[in-house]
Amino acid sequence: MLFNSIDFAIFLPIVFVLYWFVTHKNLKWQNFLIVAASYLFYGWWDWRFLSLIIFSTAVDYIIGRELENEGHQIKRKVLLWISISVNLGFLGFFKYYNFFLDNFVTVFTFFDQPINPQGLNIILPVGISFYTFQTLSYTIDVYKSKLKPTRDFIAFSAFVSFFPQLVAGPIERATNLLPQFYKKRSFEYNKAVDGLRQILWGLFKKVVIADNCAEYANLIFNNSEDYSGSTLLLGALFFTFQIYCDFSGYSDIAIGTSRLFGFNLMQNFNFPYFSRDIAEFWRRWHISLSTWFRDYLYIPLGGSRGGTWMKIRNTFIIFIVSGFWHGANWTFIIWGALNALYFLPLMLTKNNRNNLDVVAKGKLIPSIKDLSYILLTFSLTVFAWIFFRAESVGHAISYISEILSPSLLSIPKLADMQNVLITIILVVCFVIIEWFGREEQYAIAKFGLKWRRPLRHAMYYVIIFTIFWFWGKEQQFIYFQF
Amino acid sequence: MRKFIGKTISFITYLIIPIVIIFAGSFIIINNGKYWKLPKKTDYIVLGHSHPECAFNDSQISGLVNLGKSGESYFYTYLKANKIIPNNKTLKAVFIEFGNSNIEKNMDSWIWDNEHIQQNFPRFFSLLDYSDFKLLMENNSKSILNCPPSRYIKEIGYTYLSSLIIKKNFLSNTRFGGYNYLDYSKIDSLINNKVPNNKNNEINKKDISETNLKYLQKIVELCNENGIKVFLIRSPLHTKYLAEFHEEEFKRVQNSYFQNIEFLDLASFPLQNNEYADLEHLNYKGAHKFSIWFNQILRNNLLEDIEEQLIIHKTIQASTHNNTLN
Repeated sequence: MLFNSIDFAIFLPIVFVLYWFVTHKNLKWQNFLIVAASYLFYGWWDWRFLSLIIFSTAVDYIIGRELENEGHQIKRKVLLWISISVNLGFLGFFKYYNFFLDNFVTVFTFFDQPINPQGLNIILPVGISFYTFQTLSYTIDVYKSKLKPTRDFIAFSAFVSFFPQLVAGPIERATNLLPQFYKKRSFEYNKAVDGLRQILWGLFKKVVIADNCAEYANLIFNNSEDYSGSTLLLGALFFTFQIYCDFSGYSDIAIGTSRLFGFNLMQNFNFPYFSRDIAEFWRRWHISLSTWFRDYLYIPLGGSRGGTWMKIRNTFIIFIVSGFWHGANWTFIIWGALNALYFLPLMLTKNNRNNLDVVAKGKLIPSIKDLSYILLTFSLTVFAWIFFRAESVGHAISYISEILSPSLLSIPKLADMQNVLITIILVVCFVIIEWFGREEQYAIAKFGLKWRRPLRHAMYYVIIFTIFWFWGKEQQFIYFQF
Repeated sequence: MRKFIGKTISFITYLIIPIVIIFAGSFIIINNGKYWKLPKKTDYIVLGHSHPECAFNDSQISGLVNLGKSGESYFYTYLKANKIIPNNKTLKAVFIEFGNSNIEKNMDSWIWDNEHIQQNFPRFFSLLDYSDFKLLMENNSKSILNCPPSRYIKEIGYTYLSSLIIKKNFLSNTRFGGYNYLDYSKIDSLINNKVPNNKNNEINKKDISETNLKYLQKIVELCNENGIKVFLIRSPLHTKYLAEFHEEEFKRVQNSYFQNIEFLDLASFPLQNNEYADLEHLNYKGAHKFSIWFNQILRNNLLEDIEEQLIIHKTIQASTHNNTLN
């Protein structure tokens, strides 16, 4: 079920009413309702893949219980590895099987040993990369005794399958989300209103900015050989805003929806395009994944401790794995490696924690210095996104070559320039709103709160009308494929 | 909680009431016959998809209005014909495109696949009756329910704009069809590259677009009920296209479904390669030549002759001969 579909518009109020009016007196029933609703939400795409979630839930629940009873360190480690193998096994099979197969074939062919293995027609289950990481975090935290294993299977199932964040995050930690299923939730008016505002803003980002940018980004990337360098650059910029608004829009809707049900999810995006260096960008982009990799991969590898080579190795590992997490293609790996290259100089010179606060805090406009750093970081990010979006490494290279050709100085040309200009104006308006709201959880979190009600409601109607008016062609959320 | 529910409901109500009023107004306007009147002295109309849309340059054919529309299946053609024909009973004849592509199964998907639903449903929803609506819902309810609101705003905006502000009817622009001027020719590159070969692709009954053809029958019935003569026509097609299409099956379908309807086969109208945009569509040069010829046919009342097909065949041959001499 897509957040920007009529199905979800019907589903959400029904679940909301059942949750607060029918099951509200019994926590178990409330949790059970969440599980049932989440399975319905997920099964709407393909009910067959529900078995994967249920199996993964059962495995991690049982292993968690076994870890509680098991004192022997080796046996505990075996249990942990069973969980890791099951979860990453599913992920590896569904997501990476054909990639590895293709690469083996290429390598063997290169050494004159052609092989002809059987490729599989595998459908990638939606959201598998997200919920497997969420369940893994539970088992690892239990193993490390950071978290007491749950004895409540329904609460655990609700934690794994919680529908607002099931298919595209934020990837919640068991330590944050699971305890919320143990406590009775009470309805809070302000929290629910705030949730609705965040949903509204998420929808705006997704259907107005991301979907309209997607139309031109797809057109340009899919026919890149037909366009000049300037048009290709425009295509890269469209994709830059598409991916941000698509993914952070989804996160906003997920967080807002959770607030309607009394839950608090972690912030997943914190205005990353206003970052002054790449280290800051990665503290603000897909925060739930970055911190997951930091805690469960980077730090166990040694983090930034040890010698220079160790630091370089760990940095490359975390960024390349992060790239590979996004998809089974060399383009994602190069995207990850590029970010590692951007990040390394900052880390080696110990400048990676220079910009921890909000840029130009309390000021209307940034200083020239901040602005130039923001633009530099943004340019590096746009460059990296070309690899992320390209069909292949060769495609990315030819795309960049054309951008760097003299045709960069020509005027961008597309068939539908009037609508392109409208999309650019929408993006500019969006960036301005984001700038003014950059100190909040989401851009319009405080916007108009002190206004009188009719004026405030008028603002909501204007946003809704803008959403309806500029509703782009329906596009799947990009991160569903990851 | 009650406060939240109450405020949310009142907020949504204030949002929905104007939307309902706007939709209802649009429904009333679009169903008003006066907005479907053709220009005075219109004797003929052409209906169909992109083939006639690009072939009949109606500025060169007196008394004829081209209402062909790219990507339009008979289902949507019927919906607009259902408004045009009863409100223009002085028409002498309706020409409906009936070519090889119209019989294929994929024409049914032109009624209800995602792309066509999202393109057409917001434009035609006010013209649907229960059975038409049911047909769409049965085949792609998901796409209907998820049509982007921006499409409705655009279509309803056009409806209000043309009826209340610029005071013109719905047929005064190309929203419901009109001649499409194409200024390119890709024939040489298409011929040099491999084109799909359907010669041996025999299609059987299950591959026929039953639903689409049913709506063609409904258009024919509609014309008959209103005492307007109907011709099925096949617009000019490139010989390469004709040679590689399932011609026998086309003839079989024509004979079994529309035996009693007069069929004007203009497919082999002689044109040079540079007068085609591609294998199925004429560019402006081809449309110009074809339209002048068709205008003569109409002006000489050849369509009222009992042997019109034979006469037209002869005039096509004569044109071919002239072309050769030229």
